Amino acid sequence: MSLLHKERANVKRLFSLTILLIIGLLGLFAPILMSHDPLAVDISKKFLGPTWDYPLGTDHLGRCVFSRLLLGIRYSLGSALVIQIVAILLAILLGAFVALKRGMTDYVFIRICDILLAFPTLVLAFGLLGLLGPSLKNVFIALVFTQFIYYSRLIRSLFIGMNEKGFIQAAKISGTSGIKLIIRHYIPNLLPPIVTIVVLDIGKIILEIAGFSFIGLGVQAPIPEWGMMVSEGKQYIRQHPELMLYPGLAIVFVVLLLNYLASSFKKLDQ
Amino acid sequence: MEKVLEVQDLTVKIGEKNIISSINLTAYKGRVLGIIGESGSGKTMLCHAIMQSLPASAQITQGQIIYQQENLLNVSATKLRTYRGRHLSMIMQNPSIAFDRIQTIESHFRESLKAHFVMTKNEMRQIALDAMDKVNLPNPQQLLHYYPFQLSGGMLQRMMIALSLAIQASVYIADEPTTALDTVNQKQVLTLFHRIRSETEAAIILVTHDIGVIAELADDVAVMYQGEIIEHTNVYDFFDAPQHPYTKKLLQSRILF
Repeated sequence: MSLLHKERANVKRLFSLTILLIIGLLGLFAPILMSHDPLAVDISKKFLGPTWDYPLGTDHLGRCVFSRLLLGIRYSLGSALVIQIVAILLAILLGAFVALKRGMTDYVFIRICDILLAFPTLVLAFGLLGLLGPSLKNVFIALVFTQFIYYSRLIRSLFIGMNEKGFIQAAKISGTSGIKLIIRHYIPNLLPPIVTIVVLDIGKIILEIAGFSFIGLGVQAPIPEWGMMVSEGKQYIRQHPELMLYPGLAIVFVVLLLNYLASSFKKLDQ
Repeated sequence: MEKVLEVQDLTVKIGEKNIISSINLTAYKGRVLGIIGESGSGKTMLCHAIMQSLPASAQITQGQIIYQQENLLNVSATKLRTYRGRHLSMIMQNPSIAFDRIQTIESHFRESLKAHFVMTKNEMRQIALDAMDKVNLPNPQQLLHYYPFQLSGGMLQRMMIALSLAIQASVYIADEPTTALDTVNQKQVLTLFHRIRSETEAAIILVTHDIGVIAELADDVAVMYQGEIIEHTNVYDFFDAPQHPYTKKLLQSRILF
């Protein structure tokens, strides 16, 4: 990989990281930045155009769209991030255990994974949500579960690939214990592929949360999640298409940035 | 002569195939046991079997490895960990893959020392510096902060020996320690083993396919052929009165100058 390529990947990473960080901060400080209570209904002010008071106008219940978009960062990007982190941590625990143990445990684990992975992620999550009932908490559980299966299998194979590496053997025969091996050698060495895939999938999770909300299985009505906002706006698509456009654009923008970031990691890895 | 490590009737299989068949070996205190054999004769497997770091496909089907009156094949995993590194130390064949490329040299020392002793950072650093000094590595202070890929193959090989010296094991298993090195570095490593033997009184098991290395270092010689030890004598008889036809062939095949 030439220096120019590396430089380009660096610029790419810096650019997308900065913007994502700003978006994250906006979400974090949403309560201070919001011009109105995003849940306050005022029918007399419905479908207002953009004004200084309402930067992006109001929706069908007279709620401030800008404030709702800001708070939505927490529900879309925030929960996707948390889902990914929880899923990968659980996956590292299980995947590492299975990869180091091998034998029967490994075999049973792989078979169970095969069965569960035979269903597409979305179908599996649908099933779980059907069982648990629609709510943000249950979307969370369903997505963590589906991601976790996928990741623990991935982590297992990454770890097994490392098992036979010389320095792992060297560490083992100089008396390093299993947990230390994982923390000091396996995880740091596997960080590039793990980070890439986790970042890449945050975008996918945002889309899935939005998708669930859109069809009414996810986040419930008053909460300003982006997918939910698209779903609410769809009844007024002829008169006020901007109600769907704003949250839709927000989703596209964030997912694009995340993909951009992930691809810069991939370049760096090569 | 005091026995340190005894291998009795050791057999290792991969699937149905015998990789090592009923091997008997004894390592004595302060003596070098040279194991010689062609590529694929099971030398490296034997080392890994003693350290119990065989690949998952290989299995020890019978035999005993006796160290301090205990059979290493029966001790618990925790106990085995205290023996590995602390008592039995292995110097691996390929130094360039035996180090974690994202950890500094110092953290390699720290990890090995922490696994067996309770020490402060300064004590560990001092031990590391002493060990590096013993193996003639230049600028030990600076080397501590280097990453493995910044060192040459010969330096890494000596670094690995320094790592095992730092712990002062009682058995050193050196798996082809000179194969990856040029002649200058080979000479240095061999001198080093001479010093280890005279200074620490440790038992050294030296695995090699180089008859020159055997002539230079070994006290006893075991000749390995297709997973079996076909001849086990002292070094003088090995060169002067070889018994087995394979040993004779091996001695004839050496390049004479």
